[in-house]
Amino acid sequence: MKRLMALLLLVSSLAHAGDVTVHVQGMVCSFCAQGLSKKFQSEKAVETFKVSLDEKVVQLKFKQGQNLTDEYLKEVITESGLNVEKIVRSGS
Amino acid sequence: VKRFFVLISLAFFARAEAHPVAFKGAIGLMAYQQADMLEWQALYSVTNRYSLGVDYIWDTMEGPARRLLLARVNWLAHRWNGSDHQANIYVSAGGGAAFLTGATQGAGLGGLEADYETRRVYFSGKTQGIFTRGSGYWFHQLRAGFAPYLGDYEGLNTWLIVQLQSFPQASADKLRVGPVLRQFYKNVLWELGVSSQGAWSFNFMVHL
Repeated sequence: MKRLMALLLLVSSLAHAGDVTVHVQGMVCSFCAQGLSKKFQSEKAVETFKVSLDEKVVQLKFKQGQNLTDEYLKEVITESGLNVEKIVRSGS
Repeated sequence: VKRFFVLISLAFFARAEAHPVAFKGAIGLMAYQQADMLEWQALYSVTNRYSLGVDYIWDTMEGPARRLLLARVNWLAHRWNGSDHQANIYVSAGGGAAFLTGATQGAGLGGLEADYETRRVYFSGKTQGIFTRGSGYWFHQLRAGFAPYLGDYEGLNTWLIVQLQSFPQASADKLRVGPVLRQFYKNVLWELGVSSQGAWSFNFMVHL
């Protein structure tokens, strides 16, 4: 049972590793969205952070073995006054 | 085109006005100046829905100099976030003291503001009243602007705006129309405007 739980945790962890692209609604003004930089650039789990106003996405790359949950990403973006449309994770 | 506006910004300094509520935890500092008015404002966004702050206003619009020191709260009443636009309605209220020639009185503030913007166009309307015993001082503003190029998140953004301001209680220039150059770079925003009467205005804002 313990091995099964460990395996599930490992699979879950791998599934959440890699890059994340968050599609954001309302991100039309860079000055108004600077809260994203303030928050994500101070996150220890984040290796690189990029915002594309053209594509209306926030792209995050995590450090090896680290991650941020979808719930946390939604919280940060909502607290910046924006809405999350969808979160796409890639790589493992 | 972008390089041209970078040069413009370096040549002129800056002026600004932005949303009265920013991201959670943001500290917004603003300084606005025109010939007959000066305003300093410090706001703290407790959440992304409301901010608390202090407003200091000096003006000579009705003749004698008047100073106001007000505590204020700004509330984001509603926001529409779309894939290519954002629209907002803000309500502001406050209270404090008015320092008039030879007298100090209580003062109150009420305001309503709405805006709509995409990356290319921008519209806003604002009305604000400041009340002391026996008198009220109103300010109304309409703005329409467009971005001559689409700025990046990390780059210099430029807006060309036409502004209509009404100061019903002013002793002169009750209606002021003119262009405003608005620019922002990362967390710093500035605006430089000129009215049809030839009066310059300058505004600066930073989000910490």
